[in-house]
Amino acid sequence: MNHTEIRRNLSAYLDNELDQEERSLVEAHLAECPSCRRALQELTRTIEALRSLPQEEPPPWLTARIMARVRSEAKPKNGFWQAILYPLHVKLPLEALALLCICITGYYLARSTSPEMQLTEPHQQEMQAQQPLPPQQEPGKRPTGTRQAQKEVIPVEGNPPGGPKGAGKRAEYAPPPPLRPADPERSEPKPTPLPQSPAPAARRDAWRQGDDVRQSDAVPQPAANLEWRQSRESVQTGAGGSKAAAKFEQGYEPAGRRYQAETYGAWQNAPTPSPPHDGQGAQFTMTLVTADSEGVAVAIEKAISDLGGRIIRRAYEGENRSITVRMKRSRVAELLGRLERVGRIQTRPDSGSADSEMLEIIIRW
Amino acid sequence: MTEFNEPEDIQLVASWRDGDLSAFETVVRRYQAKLFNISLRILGNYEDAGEVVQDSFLAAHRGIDSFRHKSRLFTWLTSITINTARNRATKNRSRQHLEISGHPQPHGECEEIPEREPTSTAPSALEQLERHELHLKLRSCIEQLGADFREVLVLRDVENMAYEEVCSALGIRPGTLKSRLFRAREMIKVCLKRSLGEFL
Repeated sequence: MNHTEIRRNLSAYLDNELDQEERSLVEAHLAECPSCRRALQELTRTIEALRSLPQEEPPPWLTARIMARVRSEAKPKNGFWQAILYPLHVKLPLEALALLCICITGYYLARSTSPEMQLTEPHQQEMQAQQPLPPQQEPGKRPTGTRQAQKEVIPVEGNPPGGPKGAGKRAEYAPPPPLRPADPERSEPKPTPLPQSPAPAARRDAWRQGDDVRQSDAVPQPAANLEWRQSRESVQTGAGGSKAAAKFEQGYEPAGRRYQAETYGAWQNAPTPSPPHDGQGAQFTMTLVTADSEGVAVAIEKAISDLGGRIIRRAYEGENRSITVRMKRSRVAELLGRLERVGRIQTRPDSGSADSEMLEIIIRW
Repeated sequence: MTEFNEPEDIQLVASWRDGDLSAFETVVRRYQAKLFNISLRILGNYEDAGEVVQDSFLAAHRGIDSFRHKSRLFTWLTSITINTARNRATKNRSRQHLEISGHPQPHGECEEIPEREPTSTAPSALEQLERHELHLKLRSCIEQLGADFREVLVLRDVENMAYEEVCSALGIRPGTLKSRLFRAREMIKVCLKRSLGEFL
């Protein structure tokens, strides 16, 4: 070992951390080297000085503070409700506001479920725009049904090519004819047939079944409605179709759309309704033929309730029973559909494009 | 040097783990002075040393379940204190608050540092003055060391811990400890010779 190695080991030598061999080498070298002995002496005095450093007393508050901190940590933490609610003056108003926002949002979401009628409105406007007015009718005037117009022959599928002039020439879309077969007992013509509104599949079936009946259906129609029907039949016979008709037929469920179009046609082309009897809406009357006159009342009331209507008067005594309801004009078509499930509507409401949104309907059975 | 009673430590730790805060308090009272001095030598600041000891005991309390008796309780507490002191030193460096002049005197600026010499060999006033000057210089020299050298020097020479304990507390090998210790002692020796001349 040279001086450098010896001096590097002097520290460990003083700590007695050298093995026996290294220790013997260091001791042998120290016996012969005065400078290394001097270095060892200085190192010894340095270590002694370090070990003579006094121990400082810790602050007197140290133990108490440590224990206080540990005890504060050992306290049970706030529970779930405390964490949510406290401090009340801060969290409660915020949570109330959040709840209010949720309620308002939920309310508007629930109301935003738009009814079917609104979905069809643009198409109806489109159809109206393309539908030619009768020659005798001035634009802007509401069409009125005349017997002459009702007696016109309605072109239907299967008509010979040389049939009515309207067939094959007119390209405008025509709404479907009434779904219901003609009532043979009916002596008086009905102004406007209204559609059924069962489930789509049921409506489709009704539509198919009704085709044959419609061909011979002599139910008188308002003039404008007749025009509408004629134009539709022309589309169905394949004699050419306008863009509106094509657009109407494509991309939409046919039965449902026909139903909607027919509904709108019926409502918009019907005669002006009778004036409101109480100033809150027009009043209409309809007659329902049913076998179960006892149980139909429950079904009617349920339908009214489901459609948001309000029952004004009930008259269930005697043979002539009736119920008077007030409901939105836009829901009447659905009501008729529901009623046709429980019976046959013999006298349809003489409804029309009433100005008021709310209608009053008397249902007799 | 504190005499460590290991069987008693084991029992204290068992009670401490069971939530007995009085056992924890006993541990605090037993080791806080040693840990405080280690922290003080490493940081050189009295207040920081006190806070480091608080944080160290708090950390020990939170982590007592992880103590597996692979080392002595004091060694485990020392390693926690060293780590906490390192973090504190890093924070202090970033704030440029490291005080080179040592800790404030808790009992008055000019009060004598209490000595632990036996009364039979009580030093004279001149010797006390020289010793006081030596201690001040030693503190200054220790604080000028790098952190690695300061830690081994404090644990081994100031606190008189065994090699094995120092290695365990610092997480270093014996060879590293020997090397660092040799260099730290040499630096202190040079520092003292430069300041005190013929003292050595």
